[in-house]
Amino acid sequence: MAGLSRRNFLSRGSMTVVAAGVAGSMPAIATTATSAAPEASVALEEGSALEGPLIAQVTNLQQGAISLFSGEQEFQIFDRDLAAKLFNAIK
Amino acid sequence: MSSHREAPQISKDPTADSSDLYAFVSPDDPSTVTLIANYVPLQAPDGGPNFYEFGDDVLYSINIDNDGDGEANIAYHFRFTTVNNIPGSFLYNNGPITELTKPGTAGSNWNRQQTYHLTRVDFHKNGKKTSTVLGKSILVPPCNIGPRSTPDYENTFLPSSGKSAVHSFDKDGYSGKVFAGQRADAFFVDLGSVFDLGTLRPFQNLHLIPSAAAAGINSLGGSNVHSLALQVPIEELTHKGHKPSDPESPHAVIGVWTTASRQKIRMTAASKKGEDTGTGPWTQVSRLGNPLVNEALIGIEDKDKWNAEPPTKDGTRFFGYFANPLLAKLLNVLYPGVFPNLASYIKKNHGTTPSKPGRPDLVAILLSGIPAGIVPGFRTNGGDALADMLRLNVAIPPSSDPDSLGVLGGDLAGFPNGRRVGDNVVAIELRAIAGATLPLVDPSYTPDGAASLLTDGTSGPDALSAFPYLATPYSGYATPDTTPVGHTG
Repeated sequence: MAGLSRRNFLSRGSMTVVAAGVAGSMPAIATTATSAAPEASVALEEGSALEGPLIAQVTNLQQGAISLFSGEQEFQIFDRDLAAKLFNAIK
Repeated sequence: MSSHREAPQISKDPTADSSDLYAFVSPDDPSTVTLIANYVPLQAPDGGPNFYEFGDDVLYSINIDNDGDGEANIAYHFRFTTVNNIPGSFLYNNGPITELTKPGTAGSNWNRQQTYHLTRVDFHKNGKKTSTVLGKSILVPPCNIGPRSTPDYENTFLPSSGKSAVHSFDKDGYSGKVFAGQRADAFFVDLGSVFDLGTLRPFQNLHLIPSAAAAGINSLGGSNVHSLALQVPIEELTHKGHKPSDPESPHAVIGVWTTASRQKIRMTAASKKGEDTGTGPWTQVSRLGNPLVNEALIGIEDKDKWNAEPPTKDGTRFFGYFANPLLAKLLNVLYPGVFPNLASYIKKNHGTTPSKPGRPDLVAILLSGIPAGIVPGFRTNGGDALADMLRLNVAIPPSSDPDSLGVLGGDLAGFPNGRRVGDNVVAIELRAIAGATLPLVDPSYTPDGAASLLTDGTSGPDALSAFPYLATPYSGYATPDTTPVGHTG
């Protein structure tokens, strides 16, 4: 997973979570007001930058299964906290 | 096209819709094999202002299995790039396009232009793969618009000498020719009648809903396609690089299929130019081996899935469609009393499992290949795989007098031994499904007389005698959509 880490993904400073698919309804994307966003709890490595879209799909909320798409690759991670945060963000 | 708009999803995605696949020992150079995969079906030649093109966001592949396990040993990948050379112009071209020039050439009138990279991928048994770039930024000729925009089309863009859209390559031990661009569609079929409840115009007087017999009408007469064509030495495709001479050797058989893939995630109008963008792994959306399989055998509810699966799934998930095809049963309903022997056979033989298929002949033709010993000096079975692949026996030389009925007509160089441009695959498969090939596996079966006569009554344009074999694309100016040309069979 060169160039892609959970820290990159969690940062709100430089990207928008484009598609967090949850089975069922998908409301219109609400803007996250970055000025009101809390400090990131995970620091980015210096020089980190997105080179293209980074897309997340929550495939199983209870298991915390998240598919990540970047470039020509797909990654799968399991993180229940992250899945819960994403789900809560769209409620 | 033997697989045009054949599934619900791909019918909405013509750029990735594989329509025909041809594989044959080249008649003008029998040391080579020609592979042709057609996409973007049903092109009206006058389809401007945005004429047809390959997809920059599609991975096109021609795949070869040379050890009979149904998995690709070799793949040729095509990736396209499109540029607009003349900012601000709404036109495909601002004046006559009189030569094949690189994008951005000063003075060129060519605005919307495509090039492509060709890569050969070799898949190894240890799971690794080797990629060899055989050509970069190879030029695609323009669509055939008309005498003012693309004058003297064939001599301009595929001349016998000079700069041509036919590109020769020789890289790291791999050599051959490649072409990608618009050509005349060589497939012929009476779509209007065939999909009107299986009507064959020459026999419609015998149909359940009869009318007077009539000549077939080639629905594709006057239509163009986009072709990916390769001609490579036989030994660059075969198992261990051999050049087989024994047509009864399993190593003489290669299996071929074409696929188109898109990236898994598609974001609409996401680029600065308002184009869709793709992210994630390449995901297969279209597949074609033998003609007419997904079109006429696979149920609608499974067609999209079939397009997304590899050929190795055919022996399990989709086997029943080959073993007990609905079309055979429909022939008896739609043409009452014409196929009594077939009707009787189907009543007793309708198994859907490999251990007891209802139609072992169709399984052999389309899924396993015909084993040695059935037809003297012939086989298309190269291994144990039950997989829909166009199987070509490279040890059988081209015929000096091709019969469009292929093996059914006594011509062992024709379909289902690969597929040549002129093979009448509609008639061949209709006759096979009607029982004409059952005696190969059941000598006690006598086909109905009508089985050996079935045809939709159409024929297609003559093939060229040399690569890329498909004829000059129809001109938009000369072939407007409202005035069909060449539609009579």
